[in-house]
Amino acid sequence: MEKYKKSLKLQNVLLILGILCLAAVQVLSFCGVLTPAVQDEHWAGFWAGLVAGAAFGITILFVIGLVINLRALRNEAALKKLYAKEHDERTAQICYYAQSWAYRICTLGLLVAIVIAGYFSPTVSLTCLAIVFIQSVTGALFKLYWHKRL
Amino acid sequence: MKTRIRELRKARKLSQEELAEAVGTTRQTITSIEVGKYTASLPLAYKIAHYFGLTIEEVFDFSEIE
Repeated sequence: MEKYKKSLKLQNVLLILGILCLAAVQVLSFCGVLTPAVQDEHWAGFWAGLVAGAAFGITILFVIGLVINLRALRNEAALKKLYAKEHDERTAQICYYAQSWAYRICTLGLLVAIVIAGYFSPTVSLTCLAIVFIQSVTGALFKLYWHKRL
Repeated sequence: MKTRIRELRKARKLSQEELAEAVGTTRQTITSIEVGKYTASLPLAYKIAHYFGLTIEEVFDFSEIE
């Protein structure tokens, strides 16, 4: 449990750093120092709002994570519960299956998108191709890694 | 896979939550094992059997596998 406590403390440091960075981005954005590189003024306003909203949402998620970790670090029962939840084998298997299926479906979708987008926008088509390429290379590298480890 | 977990748990008047806490897992996992939707890993099966003071074969029914 001591090892887990240490990992939670490290997680907290990273979360605090993330919160500070996101807060800085939001302040700079609010002050007009950071503006999205969009030419059209109306679109720039919409885009700035979207980015600010996303940053705020991620900050909230980080804060929730931090509160959960801090509560667990102060209370032994909560710590045990969090440990069991994070290390639960069934949850891990559910995540594995869900992500594995999501990966396959997204790859298939992207392959179809490469062809369809090819008729309308070469940029979108090439972006999809790049994503599939990066995804495949990353997947192959991880497969090699796990073949050696297991 | 069929198991005797529910029967053993009831005999000891244990809740799923209490058993889950004792073996370091979640209540949902215990529920899934009890109803046969999920097959426990060897370490978890050992922990459950050990908790009841029995062997794995006495808690889990391997007849369907054989």
